[in-house]
Amino acid sequence: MTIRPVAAAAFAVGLALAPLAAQTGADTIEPPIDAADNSDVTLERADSVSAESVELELGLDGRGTSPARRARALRFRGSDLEGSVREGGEDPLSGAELGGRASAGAWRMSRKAPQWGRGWLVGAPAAPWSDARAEAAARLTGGPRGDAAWGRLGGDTRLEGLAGHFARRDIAALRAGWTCASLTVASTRAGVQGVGIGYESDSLAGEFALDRAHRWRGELSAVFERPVGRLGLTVRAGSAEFRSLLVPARSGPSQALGAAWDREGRIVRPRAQGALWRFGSGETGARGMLEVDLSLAQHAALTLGLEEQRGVRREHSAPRGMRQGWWGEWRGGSDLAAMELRLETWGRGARAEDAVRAMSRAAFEVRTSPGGRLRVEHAVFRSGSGESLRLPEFDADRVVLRALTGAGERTRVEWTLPTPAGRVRAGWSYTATAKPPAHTQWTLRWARRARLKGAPS
Amino acid sequence: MLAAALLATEARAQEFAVPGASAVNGPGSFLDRGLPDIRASGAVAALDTRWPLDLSERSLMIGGARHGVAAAAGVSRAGSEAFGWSGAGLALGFADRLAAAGIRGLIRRDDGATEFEPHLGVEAGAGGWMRIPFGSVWASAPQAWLDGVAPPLARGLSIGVELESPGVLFSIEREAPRRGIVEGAGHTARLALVWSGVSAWIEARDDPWRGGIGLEASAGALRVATQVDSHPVLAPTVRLSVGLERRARAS
Repeated sequence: MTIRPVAAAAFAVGLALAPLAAQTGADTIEPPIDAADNSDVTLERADSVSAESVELELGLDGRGTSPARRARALRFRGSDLEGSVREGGEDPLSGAELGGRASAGAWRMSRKAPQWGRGWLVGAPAAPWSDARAEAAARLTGGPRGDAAWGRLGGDTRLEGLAGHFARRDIAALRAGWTCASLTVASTRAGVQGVGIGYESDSLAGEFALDRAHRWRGELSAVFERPVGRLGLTVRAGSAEFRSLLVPARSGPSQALGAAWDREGRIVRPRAQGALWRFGSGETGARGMLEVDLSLAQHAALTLGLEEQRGVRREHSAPRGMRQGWWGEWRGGSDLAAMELRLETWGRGARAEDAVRAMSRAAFEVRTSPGGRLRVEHAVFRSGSGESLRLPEFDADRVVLRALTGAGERTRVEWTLPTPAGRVRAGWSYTATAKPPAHTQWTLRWARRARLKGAPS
Repeated sequence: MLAAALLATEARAQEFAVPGASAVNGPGSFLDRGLPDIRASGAVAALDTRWPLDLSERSLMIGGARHGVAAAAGVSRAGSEAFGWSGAGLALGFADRLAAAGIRGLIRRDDGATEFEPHLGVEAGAGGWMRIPFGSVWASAPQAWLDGVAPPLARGLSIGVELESPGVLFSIEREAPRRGIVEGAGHTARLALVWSGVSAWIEARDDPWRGGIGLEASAGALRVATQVDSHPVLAPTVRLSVGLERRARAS
């Protein structure tokens, strides 16, 4: 395929072109490159427990008539020590995490790796088509999962070390940093695997990494605050065969160019994204998106967006051709009751004709008591073969991108009820497709939060 | 129930689909779509629906809203003794001046089922509306959950907006493709003119194109409404409703 026309369109959009409310833009959160087709994806949310507090959560999860599974979690955050333990039958986020900080440095033992630079040696690289702002608004942490022990000594002049097990390899890495600049050396049991230099500031982040076979990857991302809005540019280049050390499956395209623009406004908040990419195999892809968020009277808001996608997002995958989509979302209400309506259609043809996936969604949320909410959400979906349709579902510590295939409907009821003994949250979802049987999922959680002794109230 | 389904599918008339100029329309809209009506603290309504091929249905419903809680109940009987079904519905929700939402459920008994077929069918769903400047928006998923005998009319998630100006109501509604049916979304537009106690409206639907006209009149507590819906092939469907309403005090 040729990407030149799309390049022009993407950059016209990108350079010509909203801030995200709590969940606005959630539908644009993309799953990681290595996520399996038609499977749910669970992304961890950062800072799920407030400062100087400890939270205990006990619960049960069930699916259909299968036996219920227990879920337990303990999270705490103090001034110099924080941690969490999650345990659940098939919880993809289960595991323990412990970290601390002191004047001399910080340390953390965790199942997820830190993000150094752009993630080419330590961490995970971002996909060029991902919506970084939507992910930031949802406070998502997308690092690879394994086992990691990390420590840092110093401040402006610092030394960091990482030892861990990722992608079936034991990995050790050292990073020496001076203010914004850093030098990284990463190795496995087979010897030094790569070196890299990085630069990270509020407006500029870049990394250049070189592996032992002299293959390289470089990425630079810059954000410019201008009167016309915030402009972001990302450039990636490198050898076709270079792979990210910790999570090779997420290495993505070897060449990419991306632009993003958004502008804060009292009434109109536009944002746009454009990206072009090329894999080492020569396969290419492109994306251009424009979305406008409008504030309406009585705290209501309307979001309208359109997007065009071309090419592939995975190396050696079947070409999908062009996809055009549009969506509209209305949100309104008060503290007592709120409503969300969303329509979304994607098609093979221009103006989203010849639809391949579509979704209609309505949600109603009612305050049932002070601090208590009842939310009912109903979605009607249709997704053709090979199409990916995922419905985001928000939880206190995670976002689950629920994979929906075929044609059907999904209803979700969630009730949060504060009680003197803690907070109770009950959820029930029912998915019915053209092919029976329908299946149900349910969740019951009890959580109790307490402030740590000596913490300011 | 199959023949009735074929008729009802095009007429879009269900047990408690009381005709009215507005989508939120007494205990009928609550039982039929989960949309509570806060305008009446108490209401009772009877509905007679005449489908083509001499098939008819009669319904009786009662409901109201008070102190933020809305409730409605109703019973219906369709068809003849040998070929027909009976239904009983219940709806419960909250109602405020600016927003309301509710859940609705309906159980049907199919008289035409053989001893080897299930006799009972259950459907449950929810709906809600919210005031916006110049009107209201609503969403209704009346058949979010189904079990047993399939209902005569499959219904999908509908989202609508109604705009008001003095003497005029205009609404447009989109119904998502219904479960198990390969189809596109359906759209309905309605324009109503209102003079004191009398309303008249015209309605148009797509896929296939068809229309309807309706008239509603109220005098004191008495309310009478009728609507005629065209059918793409057969004779029109006629609905006639008579009811009594006790208006809620303005808060």
